[in-house]
Amino acid sequence: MESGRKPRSLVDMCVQKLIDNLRDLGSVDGVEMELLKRILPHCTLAQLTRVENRTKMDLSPITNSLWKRFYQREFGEEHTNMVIKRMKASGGRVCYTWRELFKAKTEKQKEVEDKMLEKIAKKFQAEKAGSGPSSLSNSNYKSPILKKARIEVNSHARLQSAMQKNTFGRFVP
Amino acid sequence: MYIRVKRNKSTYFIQCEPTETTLSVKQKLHSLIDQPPSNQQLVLLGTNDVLEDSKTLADQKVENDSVVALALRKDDNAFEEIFIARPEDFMSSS
Amino acid sequence: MVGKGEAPAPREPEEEEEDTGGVVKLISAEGFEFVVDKKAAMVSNTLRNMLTSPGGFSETRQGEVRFPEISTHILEKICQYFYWSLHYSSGKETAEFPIEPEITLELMMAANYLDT
Repeated sequence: MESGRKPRSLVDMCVQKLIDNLRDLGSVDGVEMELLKRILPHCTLAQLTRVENRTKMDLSPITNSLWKRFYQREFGEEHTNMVIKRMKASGGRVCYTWRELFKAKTEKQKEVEDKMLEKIAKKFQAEKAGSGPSSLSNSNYKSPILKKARIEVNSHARLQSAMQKNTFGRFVP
Repeated sequence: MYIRVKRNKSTYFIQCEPTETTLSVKQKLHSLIDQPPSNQQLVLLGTNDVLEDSKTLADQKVENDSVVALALRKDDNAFEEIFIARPEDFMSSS
Repeated sequence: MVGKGEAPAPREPEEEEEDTGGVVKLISAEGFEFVVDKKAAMVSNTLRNMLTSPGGFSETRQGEVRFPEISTHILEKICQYFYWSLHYSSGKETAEFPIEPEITLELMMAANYLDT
């Protein structure tokens, strides 16, 4: 009677469905770790952040390695290795999850970046007070990304030197 | 295929074929609910059509996974009103 | 529930041999009942064990199994899956089993419990 065709298990179907709809995944409280192990590695950084923020139970046994991967991708292999070394050097006294490390690093970076932006703004203000060009607004400097800020500092420097050479005729009042 | 026959808080999953008659389904129900086909009325949910004993399921647009309501004959010989309970009304937390 | 005040009587031999005929009643958290063919219920390995284990889960002896943890709509979906699975195994053309996104997580947990 049976053709021997094996139907997919309902669990497998659900796992696949959840992976396909990770953007809608919130709390996973009560779900067996075995199942989460199959699902969570498919999360993006934003998705994993949301799931962990909304879930009361500790998911770090599964997500720690995922966060390490995000850390490496975001802050580089070299820096990651340095962090590992430091933690090892502490002899296990200092032990953070990669999720915590990621958060701390992101916050620190934001701080540095904010300071940098402030500096740029001040410098710019000073220039404006002088004979600097007034048509350039500093709206370009609102980007939250440090990298971009660096580029802007560079371009600002270029702009400055260009102005000194007075090749920017149209900016001259 | 199968259909879901519902009455109050009960659902009967009945395996059947599109070529089967309503009466045949009622006979299957007979063994489950101890009520002869003459005391059963089946109504297709959605259209509210009362299914006729001699007609086939396919003829009456009863398909796989269709929900059919069951009404039983009351003491006064009329069929009871169709009633299918909703789980929302029985949830402890609400 | 037994309460006869005597040592458990040896089970009748005809009950020892479990067959796949007949039906079983599955009862949800809210007390809704789903009557399904035994062979459909046995798509679930958990139910198969319950229904075939000679030690006997007292509930299955009476042909019913209660699931205080499984809500009605999830239990119904699972019964639908049982029949979908039978149909698929028969080799007949079978459409994909539909799973609504909003119930997927709960359904997965119940399916995992029922090993199906």
